[in-house]
Amino acid sequence: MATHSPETTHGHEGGTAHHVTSSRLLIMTGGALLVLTVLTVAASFIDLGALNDVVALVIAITKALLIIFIFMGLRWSTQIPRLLSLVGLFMLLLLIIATLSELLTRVWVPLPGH
Amino acid sequence: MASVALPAPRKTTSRNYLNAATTVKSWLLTTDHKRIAILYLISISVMFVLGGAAAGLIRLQLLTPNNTLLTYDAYNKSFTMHGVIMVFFFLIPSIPAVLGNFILPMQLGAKDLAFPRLNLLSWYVYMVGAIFTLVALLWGGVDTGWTFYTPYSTQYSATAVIPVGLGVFIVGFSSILTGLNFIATIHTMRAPGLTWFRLPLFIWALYATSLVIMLGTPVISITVLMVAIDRILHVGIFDPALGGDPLLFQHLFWFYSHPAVYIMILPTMGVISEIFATFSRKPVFGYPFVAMSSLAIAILGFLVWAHHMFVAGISAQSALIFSFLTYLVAIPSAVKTFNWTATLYKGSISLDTPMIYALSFIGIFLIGGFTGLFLASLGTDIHLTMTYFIVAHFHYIMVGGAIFGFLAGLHYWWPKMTGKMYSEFWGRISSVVIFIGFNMTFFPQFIAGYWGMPRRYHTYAPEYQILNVLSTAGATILAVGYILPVIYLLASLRNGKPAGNNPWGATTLEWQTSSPPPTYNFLKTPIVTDAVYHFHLPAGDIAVDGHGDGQALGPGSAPATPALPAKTTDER
Amino acid sequence: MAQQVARPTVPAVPRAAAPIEAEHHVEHLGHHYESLDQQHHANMVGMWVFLMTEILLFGGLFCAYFYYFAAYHEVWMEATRLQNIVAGTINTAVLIISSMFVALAIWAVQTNRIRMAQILLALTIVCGLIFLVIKGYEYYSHFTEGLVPGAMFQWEGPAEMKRPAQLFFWLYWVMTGLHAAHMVIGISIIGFILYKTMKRTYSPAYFTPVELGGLYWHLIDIVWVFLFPMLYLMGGHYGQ
Repeated sequence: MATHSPETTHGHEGGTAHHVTSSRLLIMTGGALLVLTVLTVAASFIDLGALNDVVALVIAITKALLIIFIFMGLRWSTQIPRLLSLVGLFMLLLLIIATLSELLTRVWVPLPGH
Repeated sequence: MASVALPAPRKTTSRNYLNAATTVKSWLLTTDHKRIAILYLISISVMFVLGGAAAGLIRLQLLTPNNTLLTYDAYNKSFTMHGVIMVFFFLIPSIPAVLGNFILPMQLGAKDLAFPRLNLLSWYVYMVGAIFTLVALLWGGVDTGWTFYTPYSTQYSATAVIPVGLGVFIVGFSSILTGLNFIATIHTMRAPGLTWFRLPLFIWALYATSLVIMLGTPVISITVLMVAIDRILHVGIFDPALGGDPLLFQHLFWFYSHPAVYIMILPTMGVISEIFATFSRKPVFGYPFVAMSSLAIAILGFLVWAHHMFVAGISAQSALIFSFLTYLVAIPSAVKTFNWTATLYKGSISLDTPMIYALSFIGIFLIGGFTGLFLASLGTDIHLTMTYFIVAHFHYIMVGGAIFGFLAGLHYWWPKMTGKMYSEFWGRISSVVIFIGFNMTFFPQFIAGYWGMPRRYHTYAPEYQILNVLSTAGATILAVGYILPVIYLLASLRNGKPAGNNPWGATTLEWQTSSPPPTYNFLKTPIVTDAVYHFHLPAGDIAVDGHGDGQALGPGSAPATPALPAKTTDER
Repeated sequence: MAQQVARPTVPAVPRAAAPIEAEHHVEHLGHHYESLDQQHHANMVGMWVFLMTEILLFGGLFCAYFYYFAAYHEVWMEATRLQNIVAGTINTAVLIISSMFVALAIWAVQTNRIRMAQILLALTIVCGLIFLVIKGYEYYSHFTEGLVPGAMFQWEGPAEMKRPAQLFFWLYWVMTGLHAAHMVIGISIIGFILYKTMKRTYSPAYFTPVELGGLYWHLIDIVWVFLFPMLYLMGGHYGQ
């Protein structure tokens, strides 16, 4: 592959080395994810008003980032997976945000008599 | 017997992908990208005939204002079938799955796509999706239009929406598999020395197309699945009477279906770039801009979907933003058109059949593109939405764009695919017939639409008859134009002159191997030492077949690309 | 006769095919790749592209969810309170642990602990099955409580909330159902990898399929990481 595609030569030396994530880091990440799960459930039992939703989503995003960067190894990957996951994320946000922004700025003119 | 055996080696010196094995099983279980391309070519041609037949019914019905050939119901089913088959089963797979499948690995100097078995699976998935749709046809058809607008499709239509929805859902996975294969192949299977900015523009176009496929198709898949589920549950997720919102469906639908237009047009643009370079014997003017404009179209294509919903009651702010963004798409499209035109300047132009199609494409695409700008502007759109103006506009893009591109590419690569030349005379005749027939069919529809003739009705006011008669007459000419290539291309298989490796004097890698190519495309992995489209070099020095053997190079021993030319000369 | 004709062509063929086939006896290497490295790279790119697609497959449903979340916020808060939060929490934990097991299995193969990798993969499957059993139990209790959208839907809250609440449960069933379908596929994939690991196919020199299976499993986990707060926690559970 090193002979084939220039972009991969930046990724890992000689093209053959693969990153080995240590078992300790993996277990610690798993532990952190469990703690975050407990946190998010605990937070849902406290009245934070509108913040409840925000907290739940922020914790979910944190957990997802931990899984992507450590379990899925994006932290040590080549550029392509990073680019692809960014593109995927961007499109997901585009779909949701553009649709919601349309919904939330919509103004219905009431019919007379209704 | 011996006398038969003797000349045989000369006649069949190239054992190629077509004669490597000839059993039906060897075709149905092949993982050779070239054979899968042929399988796709046959399948989409059958679907094209079916979709075309539905179009024929529509045009016949509209010959007179109150024709009784079709009932309103049969008419609705005809245009739905025409739309569903043409969009999902012909236009979207046409260039990527046939020409892309065949040519992409060869232009990269690879032996196959990255995942040959997934490639075969993609064809089978396509067939399953097609069968679902055809079963629905026999079942009595669908009358929702290819857009499946809710709540009609979820609550009220009494036709086979679920089988067709599932068919669309399934066929989506076939394009996803193709797109996935293309992206992985382009990233990892390029021949040594073939850097990104040495890639042929067809590859850039297919890369952009694949991105659109991968990002858009899953959304339409899940959306039609939601429609199918709601037809069973009747909860009304898209039904305003039951608390749902049809605009959500339209958002999700057009999030894919607008970019789907770019799935059709981007590969065409790639084909046109190749043909313009080859037949004017010049590098494409402003190569990096043409390459980047493909990506720009892919990105901008995702930012404009709500322009299909201007009259559906979306918010004014959103409409304004989407209208503005729609104008922006014109920029990369214009970049391409200007650069193609500039490529012609002072070129040695030869008007062979592919070039005639390519030149026709430019004119038609200009009309299709500019009328798109009319529709992007909010005020005009309100007048023109749901009229024949829209029908004419998107046929100028889809037929004039995608089908002209497909025919251009098919004529360009036919000698490579089959090893035979078709009749150039008939090729030119039919390209002109198609051009005339196409414009005669669809240009009157612009006028009819501008005058206010609504689409999707089986009758119309008598004032529009002259335009509709013209249109139907044009459709007849167009049909003749489509039948001609079938005849002379098939005839070329039997009587065609041998094409030779490079009949057009093109520079991309697929022309450096024999026609038809051997099973693994190249006897030795080519090494690329120069930019693409280098017509200034003498023919023998164009790209390198056999100077280098990629096999021998292990990882780590990669020769630095700039050093290669000197090295190869030394070896000589 | 056909054989006779074909014979003379044979000398031409080895020259064509020999360099390709003769040099390609590297184990696990597909015929069309140049090197194991290229194959690994292609597989990884392919998998990430596929995951990108998966994000948007769920993305359509996520979009629908947030659309109605914005439109019917009150109802959503009511509806999440009908969920079995204990079952949801346990399932989240089970899935996170299974994800960790898969990640550890890759580490084990990379460091040549094949026996340990087998155990970790088996544990992953067990976790996956536990998840499905708990999910099935939840489905069953929703079924008996009438929280199935459609004709059988029962709603005890304010009457005007019934239709939107039904939309919530429509999304709940479809989203978790699609996720469960992915779980079933994921378990099959991990099962296949386990089988291959038992046959000692993988080693520190070749473990691409383990990595690919792991990536898929992690994606399923990520989807659930979002489904859990969206379908169980939004609006909070205080005051119950």
